[in-house]
Amino acid sequence: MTDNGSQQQATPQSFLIADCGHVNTTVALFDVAVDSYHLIARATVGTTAEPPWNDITLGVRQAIHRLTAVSGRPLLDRKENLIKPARANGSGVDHFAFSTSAAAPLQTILIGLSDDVSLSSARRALDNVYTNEIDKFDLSDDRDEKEMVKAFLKLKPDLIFITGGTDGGAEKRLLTLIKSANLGINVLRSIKTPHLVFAGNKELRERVQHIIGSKVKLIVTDNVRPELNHENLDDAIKTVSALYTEQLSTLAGIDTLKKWSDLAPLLTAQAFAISSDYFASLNGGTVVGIDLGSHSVTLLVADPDLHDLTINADMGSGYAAKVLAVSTVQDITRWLPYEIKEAAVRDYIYNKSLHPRIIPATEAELLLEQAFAREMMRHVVNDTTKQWLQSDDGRLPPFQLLLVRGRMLTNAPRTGQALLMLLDALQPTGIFAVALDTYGVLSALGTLATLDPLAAVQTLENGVLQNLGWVVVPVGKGQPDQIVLNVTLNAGSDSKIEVEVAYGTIEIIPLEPNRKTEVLLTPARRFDIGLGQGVAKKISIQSSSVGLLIDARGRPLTLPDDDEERQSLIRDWIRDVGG
Amino acid sequence: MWVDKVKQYTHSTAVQAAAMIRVERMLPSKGKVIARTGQAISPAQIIARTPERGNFRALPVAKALGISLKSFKKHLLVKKGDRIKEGMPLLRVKGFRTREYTSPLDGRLYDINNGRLIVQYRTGWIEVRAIVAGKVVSRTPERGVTIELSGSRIEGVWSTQREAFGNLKVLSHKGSMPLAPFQLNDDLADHIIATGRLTDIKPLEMAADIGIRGLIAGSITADLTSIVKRLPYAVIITDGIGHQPMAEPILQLLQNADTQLTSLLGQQPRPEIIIASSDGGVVTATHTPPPAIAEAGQIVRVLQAPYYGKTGKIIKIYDKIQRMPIGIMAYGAAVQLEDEQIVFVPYANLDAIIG
Repeated sequence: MTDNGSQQQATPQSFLIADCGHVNTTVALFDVAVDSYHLIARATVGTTAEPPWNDITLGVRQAIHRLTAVSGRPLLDRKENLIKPARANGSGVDHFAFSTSAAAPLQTILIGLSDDVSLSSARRALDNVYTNEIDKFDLSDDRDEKEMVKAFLKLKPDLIFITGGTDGGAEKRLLTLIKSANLGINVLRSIKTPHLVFAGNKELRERVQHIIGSKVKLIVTDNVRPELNHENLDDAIKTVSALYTEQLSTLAGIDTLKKWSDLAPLLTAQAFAISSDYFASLNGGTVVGIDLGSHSVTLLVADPDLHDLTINADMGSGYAAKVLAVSTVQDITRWLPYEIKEAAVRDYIYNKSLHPRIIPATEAELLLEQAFAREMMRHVVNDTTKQWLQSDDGRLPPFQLLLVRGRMLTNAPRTGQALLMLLDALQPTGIFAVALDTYGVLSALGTLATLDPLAAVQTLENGVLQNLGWVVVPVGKGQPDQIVLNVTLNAGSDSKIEVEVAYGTIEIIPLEPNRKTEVLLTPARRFDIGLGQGVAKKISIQSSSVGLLIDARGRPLTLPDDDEERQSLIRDWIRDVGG
Repeated sequence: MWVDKVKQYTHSTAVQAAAMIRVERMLPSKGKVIARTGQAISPAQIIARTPERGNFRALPVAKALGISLKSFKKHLLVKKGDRIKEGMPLLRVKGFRTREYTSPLDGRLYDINNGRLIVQYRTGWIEVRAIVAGKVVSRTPERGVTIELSGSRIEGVWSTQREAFGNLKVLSHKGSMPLAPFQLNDDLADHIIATGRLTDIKPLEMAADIGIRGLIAGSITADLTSIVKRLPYAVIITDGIGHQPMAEPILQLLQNADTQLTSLLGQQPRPEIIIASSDGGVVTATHTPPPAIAEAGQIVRVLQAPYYGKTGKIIKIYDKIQRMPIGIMAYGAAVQLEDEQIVFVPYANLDAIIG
């Protein structure tokens, strides 16, 4: 491993990084080519952690073989073991590491004083790890001790996360709650011993330990809410991440990957967050990342200094049935340009959950999958903005770059479809670029950054993403056909192109390939593109797959109630972004 | 030279005729195993049992007698693990006026917690029946047994989490036929019935009134999934949720096994249908087949429209990623369907039928 450029030049190292999701496994090879690090090749195959395969290494080896077929570089020996370090004949690789989200999320019961203070902080910490809140107890809960025990026995949690009380604050009510929880834990022990974490008032640690006794290991972390107006989540995140890493040992074959690896396994979402941090630092701005995985949806906001991460491990593009718990069938079908029976939607979604790997093979199925994907992302954004920003409008903060992962988005037949799904679900505002992780390597890059930051930076600078385009979203109240934005493009020499964008429409302006274009954006008097009402901005943008997209449909996006009218509008939008 | 090493693993479903099958029957928690190794076993036989352990009651003894948490332990008359009887004194505080706390129930003292006695009481037994007919080939102490039998095995995709056994009656000659009231009569009582699709609640309720023990179908609509969970018989679905027909190889195997003893194991992560061979049969496969690799000749069923539910044979593996008609790029294979049509199907939408 190297940590500076001079050593790098002396002994260039090669890196093989795997990311094992629930459904797909991607393996990427990074090496020096023409003086700097590049993504040399990558391969994606199905994950084989679950029955009928029961061996996560089958998929990883399969992907490595595919990588060898593409690159011509042998990486496995005759016994199917990784050749490490690299040999003089060009075979093998110097370093291997992996990230994963393939283990089941930690089923978690939260205990704390109040839902909107201590439990809220606990959730923000747990959102950073693959956890699933299955129940919570606070002072407003009217269930008695007996019902608490029943809930413990029924739900059999993997993790009980106790928080509450500022440091040096109220004691008695929290201790009473913990005594009741301890009864549940003791009874639960006859079936299963859960992890027990205390992340509350630090003055109470000894007394909590005394109540819990020695039968269950109490893991103590820093108080997630040491003061009413201050959160401290890092220690709790680190602790729960370690517990999830322990959970990984339930994956058959993981020991082989650990033996190959130079690092302890990273969580896929956390590796994605690391690479997003790099983008935020390189661009000096705010980056929003979304990963629509098969079994989870990850949303993050990264600034050069910090990031907020939310993993919703309760649903995903494959594990789709849970979307019906947060959205009605009508919520889903409102995004469709065609009529469909409610029962048919439920059939499709339930069946998809039985076979999470399947991919749509007809246009109608594709649009239906994209419709419920919108609802999943919308739900996560609404939930997250409430948590992070205490805001009910579901509005993300302004950002400069949107990073997009997840095969339903990156493997959409037409890139405009992915862009439209994102605009409908996230309803962003302002001016920003969109980049697709088409090769599925952003988590691998995060892992690479942990091994060798310089290699990660060079690879990023050499380009691993598909630049989808630039988006401008003017915000304000308007009438149909009212001009809300004037766009002036400098098309080279002395020629200029001027485009007027009307309220309620989507406009795509193609850009000349392989050159930068100067664009002047002038919003109407009562419209804002992120700088204030009516304030214009000049930007210089690189050519991209879609070009410059102006979303002048308004925020929040409203759809007509009339079915025919709405379906016609959705058809228009799909056509506008390229079909 | 490396291309031929790129194996493509596909999802698979075991549809095994005349196989040697092993079925594990285990208790959810430690208990007593009744069946012996070598013993011939019938489906109704109980092979292991354990007391139901899920019931606990917290007795607030310290609070009831008004004694402090620090001192209450010295007054205890019982210790952890002791069996206790209703009316038995559990705690006695001697003094001018001796006070006692007597047990309100029978049970076992599970724990002592903050001035409370946690009593575990029994409401019944958890009993594991064999469900299949065969011979016990191994015992796992305190947990259960492995039973071996010759017969057929079909993996399902969804179940109501129930188990049942009975003689099989196949009601449909086509995998696409929905269960209809006219197919049901009192002769089906205690049987396992098999049909193409479940689309209507009425015949499902009639089947409950008749007293069938179990039902096998190719598909069930999403709206019926919660309803059938409330019905008193076991249901295993072999193909999917919606209106898919039962795959032809599964239907054929069930038709060939009509009237034979059939077991529905619906409590496993992947539900299974086990059909005991009536004559011992010729065994052609043993135990569980290995995971399938997509290769020419492999029998598959298609899991997605427009060929959903159709079976066929892989005739070509594509080394390079292909563009599907709707534009998605995917690795896959050329499959010759039953009607001779040759279509490209991504691996993600294929399910290998392995026997």
